Amino acid sequence: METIAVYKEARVKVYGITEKDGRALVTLSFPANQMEQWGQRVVLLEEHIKRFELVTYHAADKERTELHLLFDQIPPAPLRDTLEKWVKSDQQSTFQLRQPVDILYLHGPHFQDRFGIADIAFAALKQNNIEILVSGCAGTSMYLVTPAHQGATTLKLLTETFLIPTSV
Amino acid sequence: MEKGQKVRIGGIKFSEELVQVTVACKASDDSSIYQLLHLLAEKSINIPFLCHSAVTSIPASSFCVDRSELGKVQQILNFSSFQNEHVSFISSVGTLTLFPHRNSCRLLGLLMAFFARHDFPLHSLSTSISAIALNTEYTLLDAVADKLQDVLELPLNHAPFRQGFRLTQIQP
Repeated sequence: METIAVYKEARVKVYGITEKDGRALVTLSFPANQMEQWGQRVVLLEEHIKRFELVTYHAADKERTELHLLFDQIPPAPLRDTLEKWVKSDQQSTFQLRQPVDILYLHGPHFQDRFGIADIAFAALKQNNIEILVSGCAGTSMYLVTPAHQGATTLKLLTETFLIPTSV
Repeated sequence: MEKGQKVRIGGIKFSEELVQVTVACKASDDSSIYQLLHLLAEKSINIPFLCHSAVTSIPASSFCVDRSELGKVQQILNFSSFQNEHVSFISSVGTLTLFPHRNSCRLLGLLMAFFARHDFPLHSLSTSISAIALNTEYTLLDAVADKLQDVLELPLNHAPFRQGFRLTQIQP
């Protein structure tokens, strides 16, 4: 059975856009065959830092994978020391900490079912020379990590690009 | 939470069959992903999953599309601008969505180790506001969900949710 519903919007509506600055982005790069070991290590991270804001993982090629962890606070020194120790013992893994960075996230109705949503956001940032360091889009959520001090400008741009209904 | 104790989650959802495409650029300043997203939008191709990174020497993007869109995506990638990029396809991918993730490093690490230990491929993952979406082989979705019960505690009588209908946006 097919049902057609007509829904028109001049600008894509979102439920809201959140911007947070002063975050920390940890990038771990390791061979795919070390996934189990790195998984066990990520469990141990909870001793130092309680929560992440965003995680993405993918492989640029068959051998090498990238895990991006965005923390809502600057990682304490013991966590950085622990990561450095693990990476040193591996040789084939690398660890990069970029801080501060800004993060923006937005959620919209049926984002996972509609084409063009990521294009709208990415194009708006590209036109204004704002670099996207990391992005993760799944379900109805879109997360964008930008270099430090670009969050406020990005928020303004996204607020002009998408429509946030302000009344019911 | 005690070591070894199962992590409690609210549920599991399966996607339909997807294709994962990864485009890895050869130059750190390459911005072809922007053009690619635009071309996909022009062809009305929905992207239910995307992760992109440009913090290492190889900017790379992985995204999923419905399997029926594979031909159109290949046509776009044959476009000259992408000839120099490293493009790879995984032809039968399913997204396993677990919720909620509670922003927990413990759950994340446990899942990574679980996939590796059982030789379930983990092609990509991204968190959303409350869920974690993991891409694996489509044909393994049931087996992964079944085995996950060794490490996760699900509500009584839980069965993975399969959406029995599809929403398609039609350009007027």
